[in-house]
Amino acid sequence: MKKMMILVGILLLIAPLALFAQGQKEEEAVTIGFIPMTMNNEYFITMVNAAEKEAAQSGTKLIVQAGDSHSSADAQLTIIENMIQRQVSAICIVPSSSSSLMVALRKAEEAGIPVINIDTMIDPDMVASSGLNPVPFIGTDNYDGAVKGGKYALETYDLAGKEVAVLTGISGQQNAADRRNGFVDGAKGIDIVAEQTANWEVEQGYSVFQNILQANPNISFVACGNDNMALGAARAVKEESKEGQIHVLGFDAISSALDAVEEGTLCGTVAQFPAEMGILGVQAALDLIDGKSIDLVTYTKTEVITKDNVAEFKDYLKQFE
Amino acid sequence: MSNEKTSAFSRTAVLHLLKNNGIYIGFFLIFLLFSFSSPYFFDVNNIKNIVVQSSIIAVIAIGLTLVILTGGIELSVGSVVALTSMISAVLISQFCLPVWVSVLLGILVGGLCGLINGIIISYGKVPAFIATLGMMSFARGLALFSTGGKPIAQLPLTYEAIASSKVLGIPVFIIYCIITYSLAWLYLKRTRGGRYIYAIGGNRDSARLSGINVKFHETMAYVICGFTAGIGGILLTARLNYATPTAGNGFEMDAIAAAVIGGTSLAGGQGNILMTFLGAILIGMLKNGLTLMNVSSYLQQMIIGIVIVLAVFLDKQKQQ
Amino acid sequence: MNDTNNLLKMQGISKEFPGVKALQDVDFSLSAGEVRILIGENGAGKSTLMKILAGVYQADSGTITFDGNELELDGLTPRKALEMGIATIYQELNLNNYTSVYENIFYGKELLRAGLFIDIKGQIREAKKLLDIVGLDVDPCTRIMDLSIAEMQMVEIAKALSFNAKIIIFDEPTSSLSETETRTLFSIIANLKQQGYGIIYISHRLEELFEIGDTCTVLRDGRYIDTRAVKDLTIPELIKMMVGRMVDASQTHTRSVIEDVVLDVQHLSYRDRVKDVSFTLKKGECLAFAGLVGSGRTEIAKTLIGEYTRASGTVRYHGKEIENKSVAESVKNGIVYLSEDRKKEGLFLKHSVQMNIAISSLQKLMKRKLLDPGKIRKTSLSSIEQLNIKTPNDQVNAETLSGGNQQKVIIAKWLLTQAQVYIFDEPTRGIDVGAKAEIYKLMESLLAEGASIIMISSEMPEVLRMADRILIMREGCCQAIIENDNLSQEDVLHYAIGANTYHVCT
Repeated sequence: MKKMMILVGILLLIAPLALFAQGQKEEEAVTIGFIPMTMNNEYFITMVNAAEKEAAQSGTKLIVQAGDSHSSADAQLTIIENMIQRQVSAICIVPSSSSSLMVALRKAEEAGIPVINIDTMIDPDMVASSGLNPVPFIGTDNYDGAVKGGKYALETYDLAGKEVAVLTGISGQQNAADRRNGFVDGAKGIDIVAEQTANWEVEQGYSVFQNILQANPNISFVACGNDNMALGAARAVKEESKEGQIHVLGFDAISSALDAVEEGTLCGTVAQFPAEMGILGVQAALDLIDGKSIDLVTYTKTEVITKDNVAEFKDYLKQFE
Repeated sequence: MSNEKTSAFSRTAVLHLLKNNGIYIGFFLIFLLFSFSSPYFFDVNNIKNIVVQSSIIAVIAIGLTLVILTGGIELSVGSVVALTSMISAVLISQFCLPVWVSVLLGILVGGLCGLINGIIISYGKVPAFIATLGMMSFARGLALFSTGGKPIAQLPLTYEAIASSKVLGIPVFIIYCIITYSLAWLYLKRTRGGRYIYAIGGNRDSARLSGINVKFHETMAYVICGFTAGIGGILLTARLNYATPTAGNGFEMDAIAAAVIGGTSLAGGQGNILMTFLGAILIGMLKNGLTLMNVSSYLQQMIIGIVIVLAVFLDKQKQQ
Repeated sequence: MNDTNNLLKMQGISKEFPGVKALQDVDFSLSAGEVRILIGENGAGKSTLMKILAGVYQADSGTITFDGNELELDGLTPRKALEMGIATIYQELNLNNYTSVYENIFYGKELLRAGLFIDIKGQIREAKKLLDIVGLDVDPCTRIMDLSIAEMQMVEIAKALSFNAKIIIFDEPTSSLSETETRTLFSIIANLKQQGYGIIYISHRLEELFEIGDTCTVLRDGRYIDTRAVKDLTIPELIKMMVGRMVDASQTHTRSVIEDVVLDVQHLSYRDRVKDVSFTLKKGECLAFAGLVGSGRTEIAKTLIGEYTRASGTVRYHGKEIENKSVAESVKNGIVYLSEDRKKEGLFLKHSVQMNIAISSLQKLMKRKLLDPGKIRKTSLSSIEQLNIKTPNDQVNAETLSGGNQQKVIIAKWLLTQAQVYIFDEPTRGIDVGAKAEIYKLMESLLAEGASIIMISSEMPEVLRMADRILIMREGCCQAIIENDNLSQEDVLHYAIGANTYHVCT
């Protein structure tokens, strides 16, 4: 106890010292906070790299922070609080879930800091019913992209009536649902024999699909909510020596998936353009800071990448490495 | 000659001071470092932020400190956080129970998880590591099962008020910390149960042969741990106004780290509950300060890892 | 002493720990083929001196000459000392219970084939040779846990010999051995002496010194007192050198036992360790449990207090039948047990003396449902004063106290609970002569105040001094209960090894 008191005493003593440091607070450059869902995924790294490139061009300072897991709403709230404290001019965020950030949005609104929602859409109804200002969104129309993927699969592999499995992302996330529904709607007439979540992860894609294969040996196609799960599933296919019999479709077009498309282990992947999201996010933030108005929803494009166009797409990506 | 002696003496005195007050000095240095390297750090608002951000882990770490004091370990707190969070939210959204009833029932479920852990460990003689590992998986599964994995958002404003209220301008989380830590301190220092927890961790056989009902008091430690995890779950839900079955992932590690940085010995019997609070704040301060300094989140994890080991290392030096 | 033949010469050894001068200018020498007894009260510096020799501690000053070479004091580590030929057999054995005898002997210096693989056959062969030297006839592949304590000790000796030891230090080797096992150990020591090993033997037991010692060095309070040939010594002289005053250790008891029966135990059984044992205990009486180690004495005690679950039998306490299903219940009833292994089953070594004293009577030290620190402090301080516990204050950890004072702390703990029946298991094991007498006095004052004592003891002089009656155990059975009236050690021993026929007097 006594030591605690001494500690508190010392802290009080250094208070004036630390106040000197406060003088440096005025910074010339505009600062934007950028919060990807995680940083252990090259999709977000591409996004961040593009955003940094864009920020550098306009002389803006970009602060990037991420929680250590996909689903950490708590960590994102903490990061936002700290960025508000840091007095950033705007925040771009990929939320961990479509409904988890209402408290954080309110805090930002109260501090007068505009928020731009990237990639995973924050539920607009919930924003409205929480009495908050609408949050502009920049991201993929996941449903539309997945419809493209579904149509491609149906036509190329003649899937009507065949057994198909679906690996979905974390339950409860809107993009996980959109991708699943888009694929199913795009590939009308298929027979879905298994549908499981693999929580966006490679390992889980691998083990979950292994189990599905055990139960359903006649599967001829597996559609995955992202490339990580697709790469995991492809490994399971390879171990069962069913390459060529079972085709795997991914989503996101991360580089290892593109390699896999080149090799043929994946039959294709629906490309999103995270780099564009990053660029448009920074631009939108700067526009808002300047007092300009922006569209409430901006969709970035999607494209099915197959063996035919993979080389071209890789060239495009090189600039954001 | 005498000069040499005094200088040698003062050198050992300084060393002694360093050894015995490692955590205070570390805390102080880190605080100083952040204060000078980020203009945003030393600010009443930010210090409130740090305490609020650390307080959930701090509350959970109370129970964990008690368990560790008995010589046990508790790995299920993160899952229990998610379970209580989901139970309270489901009771509100699907069963339309009043918020206070749901919250109390949620905390009670936490206590129940602790009771099950305690009984399995004390009376069933299953190692704590295994029993709580089982509970970790079970509680997480039950949390996911309760809504089929879906999160529940937009809880009533009265629920959010549990977290967002202020009393005399002080965030209510700080007051929760003060209350829970005062109660824990009182329990450990001024009740028989608390003294027995130290005794059990110090020497189980001696405790039993001194006439202490070891099984009962050990179980109590797990029950309290369940309750604090339950409270942690409620606080987390209120803070986010959002309940998700994936919440609390890894909280057990942060809470263990807080206890250990605070000098609680994993061998049991040694530790001070107030130092656990300091440990929790230290972790929160690191995360906050490093974010303000815009240190990459990868590097943050590395730094926190180093700090945990360094803290225990310094503590061991003290004992020699 | 023959200086030219010195195997070891330690001169002017001093060692200081924070706050304590453990050794001051101590000299010590040893010849090959000599059995040297190192004696002194606890805290006299015996262990510190030997630990310096064994490289565990570094001396602050002084010189050590071993086998003609002067050693570097700073660079001496336990490993180096061992490799030079200084081996120590500690009281606590350093063996791995789950592995075999030969593996234990060769830990850290395994015989290798091709520099990589362990040569198991070679190790077994070499182990067998070493076991032959110490006279232990067991298969080298036996697991340590299947051996008796004495056999384990012999394995330790064999391990020491495997390092080509020239000096073997025994640190109170007989404290956990029975009479017969002690005999065997002594013959091994005699054998080692004849083969030219230098033996240093640390002991509390005065009788032992006259049996095996050639010479005897006495330390007191960290200072060297004298080295004498054993044959010229008498016990009173020795005790005087040790404690610096005369102590009367052979006082006989004069007590009046009240005839009220406090405890009436009938047909008590526990597994196959306690078989149908019946006895009574009267108010103010000391009933000793004698017998060999492993004869079931401790098991009776632990069954009585509810630590073990009894298979059959009834216990009446003040005429009322009691269950004692747990130790907690037994403590509430006022029947308490003081283990022989105080460190493991009595004390909280890392906790304060205060807590050790107060832990069992916290319910009496409360104010309005909360513990009252002031009351606890007052109570523990008055216990410390009452029992004359030597401690700087009540906040130091129990581990810093000497054995005798630790025992007093445990007695203080039970005194506070106002227990009526005290079961002492080897009450003076590991306690030095001066403190022993104090423990006996404490026990006597307990009896005088109307408490009753069951005393489990392997030390015959202790039994004969303290007991009113003696219950003799053999292989789980009560062999006899005899009045302590002009008995000799031999009388009791006869019952214990089964030479006398079975008869019971209650």
